Amino acid sequence: MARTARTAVAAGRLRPPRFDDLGLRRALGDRILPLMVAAMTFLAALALAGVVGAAALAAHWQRGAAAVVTVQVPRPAEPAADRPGETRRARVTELAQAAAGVASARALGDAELADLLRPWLGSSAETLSLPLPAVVELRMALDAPPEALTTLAERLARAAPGTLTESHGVWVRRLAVLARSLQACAWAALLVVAAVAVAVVAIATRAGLAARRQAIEIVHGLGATDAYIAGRFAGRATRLAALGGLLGAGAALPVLVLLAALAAPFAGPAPAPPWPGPAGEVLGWLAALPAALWLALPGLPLAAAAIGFLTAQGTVRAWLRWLP
Amino acid sequence: MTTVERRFRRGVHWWQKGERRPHRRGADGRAGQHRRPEWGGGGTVRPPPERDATRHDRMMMIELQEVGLHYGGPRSGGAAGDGRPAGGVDVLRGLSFAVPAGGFRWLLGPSGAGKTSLLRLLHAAVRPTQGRLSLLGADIGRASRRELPPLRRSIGMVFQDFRLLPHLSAFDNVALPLRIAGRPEGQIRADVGEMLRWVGLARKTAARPAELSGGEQQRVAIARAVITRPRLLLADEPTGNLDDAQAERLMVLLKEMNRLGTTMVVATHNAALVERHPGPALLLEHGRLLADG
Repeated sequence: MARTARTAVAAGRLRPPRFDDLGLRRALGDRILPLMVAAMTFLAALALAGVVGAAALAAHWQRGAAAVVTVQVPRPAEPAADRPGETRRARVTELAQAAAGVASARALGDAELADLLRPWLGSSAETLSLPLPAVVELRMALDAPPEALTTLAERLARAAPGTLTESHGVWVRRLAVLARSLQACAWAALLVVAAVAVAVVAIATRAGLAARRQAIEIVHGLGATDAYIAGRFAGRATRLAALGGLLGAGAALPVLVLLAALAAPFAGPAPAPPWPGPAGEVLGWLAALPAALWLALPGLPLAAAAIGFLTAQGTVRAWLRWLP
Repeated sequence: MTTVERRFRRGVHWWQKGERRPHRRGADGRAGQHRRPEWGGGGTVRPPPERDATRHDRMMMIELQEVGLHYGGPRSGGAAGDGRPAGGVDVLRGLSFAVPAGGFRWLLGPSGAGKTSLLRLLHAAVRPTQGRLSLLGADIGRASRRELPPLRRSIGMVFQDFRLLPHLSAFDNVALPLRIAGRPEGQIRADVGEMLRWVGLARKTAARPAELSGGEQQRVAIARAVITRPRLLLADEPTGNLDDAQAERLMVLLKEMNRLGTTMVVATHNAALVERHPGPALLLEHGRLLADG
C-alpha cells in the first residue's frame, strides 16, 4: 500500500504539472478572456496602423504639396525689367532655375496651359484670344530653407513686376493639421482600447476572486501572502492575455498587409519583388508594411501580457485589503 | 500501530526524519521535548501541573487582555465617528487569559458561546476590536498585514468544516501549507507521503475531498494542520467526524505534539473526550470567559 502511494508520488502523478491551488483554470477560463483580449489587440493593431499611416501620409503630403510652387508671369512676351533683351517669361524661368533651393523650374507650354484652362473655358480655350499669363512650375528642394521661396519671389517680382508666386502654404498647413488630427485620433483609439483591455481583465479577475473566495480565504489562513495570491491570479491572467494578444496580432497581420498593399501606390512606385512567382509577390506585400508596424506588432502581445499582469496584481491586492 | 505513531511513542516527531534541524527551541535555546505535558490522568478538567520554570515555559504563546470582538456596525451611534447607525454584535467581551508555550487548553462552551470566534482570533483571521491580543509574542492589533502571514504559518488550524480545497487531491491539500512556505518539492513529497500514511490515507493520496468520507476529510484537514510543525495548534471540533478509534488516535497525536512543545487549544462539545483526556480548559458562555483552568 505504502509502496504504491510512494510510487505514485514519485511519479509526480499526484501533482499536476502546473499546480493550481486556487483552481484558477476554471475560475479564469481560457476562452472568454483571451477572445476579448484578442479583439482588443486586433483593434489596437488597426489603431497603430492608423498612427503610422497618418504619419506617413502627412509626410508624403507635405513633401508633395510643399515642394510645388506655381509662378504666374503676366504679359510674358514683354521685355524683362532688369534685362530688356529677354522676355519676362524667359527671364523668370532663368532666374528660377538658378535660384538656391529650387530643384527644377519649367515653363508650361501653350498646350499644357490650354489643358489647365479647358475645364473652365471648354475646347475653345486655345482659340480664344485672351491675354494669358505664362506659368512656371517650380519644385523646391526638400532641404530648401523656408526663406528661399520668399527671396526668390522678391527677385522674380523685380525682374518681372506683377509676377505672382503661389507656394500652397495654406494647403500645406491645412494638410498638416489634418494629419496631426488623424494621428491624435488614432492614439486616442489606442488608449481607449488599452483602457477597455484593462477593464476586461479587471472584470475577469474580480469574477475569479468571487468564484474562488473560499479557496483564497483558506490559502490566506494557511499563511499565504498577498504577493502569493496575487501572483497566482497575475500568472494566469498574464498567460491568457498574452494568448489573446498573439491571436489578435496574428489576425491583424493579414489585414494590415492588405491595407499596406492598397496604400502602396499612393506612396510611390512599388519596389520589384525579390524574386518572381507567388512567393516573391507575398514577400513584396509583406515588405509593403511599414517598418514601424513590423516593430509594433510583436509588442502588442507583450503589452497585452503586461496589462494582464499589472491589472490582475492591482485588482487582487486591492481585494485582499479586506482580509486582515 | 503506524510508523509515525511508533516514532511518536519513541518521542520523535515523524517529521524529524531526514531533517537535520534540531527540534524547535524555546526562547532560551533549550529544546522543548523534555518538558512535561499539561495533560492530566483523572476524570475531570484540572489545572496544569507544575513545570520547570525556564524562559521558554514562561513565554506566553497566547495572551489576551480585555479582548473583545465586535461584528457588524459600530458599537454605538456615532462612536466610530463615521455617522453609521449602531449595530452589529459583541461576540466576545473582556477576555483575559494566557497560554504559555507548550500549554494546552480545552475550549468549552455551548453553541454560540463564541468558541469559533475565539479560535478565529487566535488564528489571526480577525483582529480584536477591543483589548490586546498577543500571539507568539506579536501584538495582533498592531501588527502590519505583512507581519501576519509568517505568523499564520506558525499556527495550525483544524476547522470544523475541514475547509479542504475541493479541486485538489488529498496529497495537494496536505502539501499546500508547505508549498505556500516555499519548501522544496522533494521534501514536500516525502513529508506529505509519510503524513498521509500516518493518517491512514496512503491509498487515497490522489482522491479529491468529494471522494472521501467525512472522517477521511477530517484526517486530511488534521494532516494539513500539523504538516508544518506549528508552534500553536488550534482545533475546532477535531473529532466531530471521527469514530471513537480514530478520535483516540488523534488524541494520541495531539498529546504527543503537546508533549513535544506545541501549544494547543482544542474546542469541543465532546464531554466524554474531555473526561478521557482531562486538561486545563477555557469555559466560554455568551462571549465571556467563565473559567480558565
